[in-house]
Amino acid sequence: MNLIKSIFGLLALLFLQIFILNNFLFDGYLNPYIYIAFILFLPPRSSVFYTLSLAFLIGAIVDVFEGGYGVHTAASVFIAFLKPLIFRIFRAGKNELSESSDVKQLGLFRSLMYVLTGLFLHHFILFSIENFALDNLLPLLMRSLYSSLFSFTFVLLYQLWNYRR
Amino acid sequence: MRYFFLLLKRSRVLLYFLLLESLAFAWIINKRSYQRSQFLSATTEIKGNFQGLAAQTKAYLNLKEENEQLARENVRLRESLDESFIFQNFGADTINSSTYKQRYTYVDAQVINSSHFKVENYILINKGRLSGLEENMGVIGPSGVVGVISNVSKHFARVIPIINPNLRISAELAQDGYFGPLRWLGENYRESSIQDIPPYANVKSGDTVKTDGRSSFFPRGITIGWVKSTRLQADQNFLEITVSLSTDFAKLRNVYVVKDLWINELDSLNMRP
Repeated sequence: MNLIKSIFGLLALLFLQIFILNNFLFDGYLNPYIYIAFILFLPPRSSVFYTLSLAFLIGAIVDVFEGGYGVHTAASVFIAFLKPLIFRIFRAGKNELSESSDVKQLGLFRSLMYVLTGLFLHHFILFSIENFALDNLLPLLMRSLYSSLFSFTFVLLYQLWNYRR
Repeated sequence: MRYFFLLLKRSRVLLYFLLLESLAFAWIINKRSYQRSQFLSATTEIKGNFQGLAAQTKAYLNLKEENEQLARENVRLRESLDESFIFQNFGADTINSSTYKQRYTYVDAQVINSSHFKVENYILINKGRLSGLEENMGVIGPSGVVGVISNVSKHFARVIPIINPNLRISAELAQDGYFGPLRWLGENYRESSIQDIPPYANVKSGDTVKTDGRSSFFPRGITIGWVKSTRLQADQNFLEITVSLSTDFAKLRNVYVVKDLWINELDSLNMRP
């Protein structure tokens, strides 16, 4: 039952990303990417192989539909690899690990910071790959910051909608 | 061997991650042209640094032959200087020298790596962006056309030679004036072919083939080679000419990069191919 629920959640997220969010460029250049939230919200005990494969699959789907040719795939696999590390940083001081989702375990503030960090890293990696050079680093950082804040609001909205169900 | 497998097992997550990332990057580099050119420019720089040393040694060994070739070229250039001509003024006309404006300048460079046995051949030369080189500049050698620059890094540049099927330049028969695309068929590095020459053109073997100035890569009249044989194309309407190339890519060392000073003006009229 849980599996069906999460597959449905993934499909809804991808649908939202591909058919709605990708068609709008807010304020000229802000494009929210919320599909990575699915990777970030995976249970912390799930196997890394599983997470990496799933990230590859999700990124590839977004790439195929958006014509990104591998950019999203590379960025989301990277985040899937970094996820345990980011999670461990925000879990510091809390030893209890349960099978429940990250949000319940970390407390509200920490989980929000965790998601925001994950989103920022994902956007930064994504834009760096699109740039493919490390000159003009500052505009890149600013763009990642604004875009990730923007995506963050969408992720919050999505989560609210998800919890009410 | 056991430890090797142990190491493999311990770093399996990292290896799997690297595998997935390299798949994604292969996808990016194959499909996105901007990323591809950035990647090529970076690898050109690295490759150039490694091979520059080997090329220097090789150049030293070939010094005698190169000197002879350069001397021959000097003779030819000296012959075309103004002072090689007698100027006879019969009193009636004046020469307005400002009608002749310089259009092309040249940058000399050395080949530090090249291939001629592959299908997609490339040449690496030891001058780059710092010497004013840019993409789409023509490259000529002591005996004729070499190719066109495809990627530039700081100190090096990558040239697509005319023995690469991806490069097509316009070629002209010096005697008749008919022109057509020069395309390499990927077999013999001493030969290439010109398509779409009208069948009524009076082509004899031994005729000179030159650049025609229609592409802004090269000035008009740089030798490409000589006609070797002609035959009717598969569509029976045009002639295909086999050209033996004047440049021997197996022993190419000194090249000149052609800079077109009027490129911006031509670009503004969209005259570039």
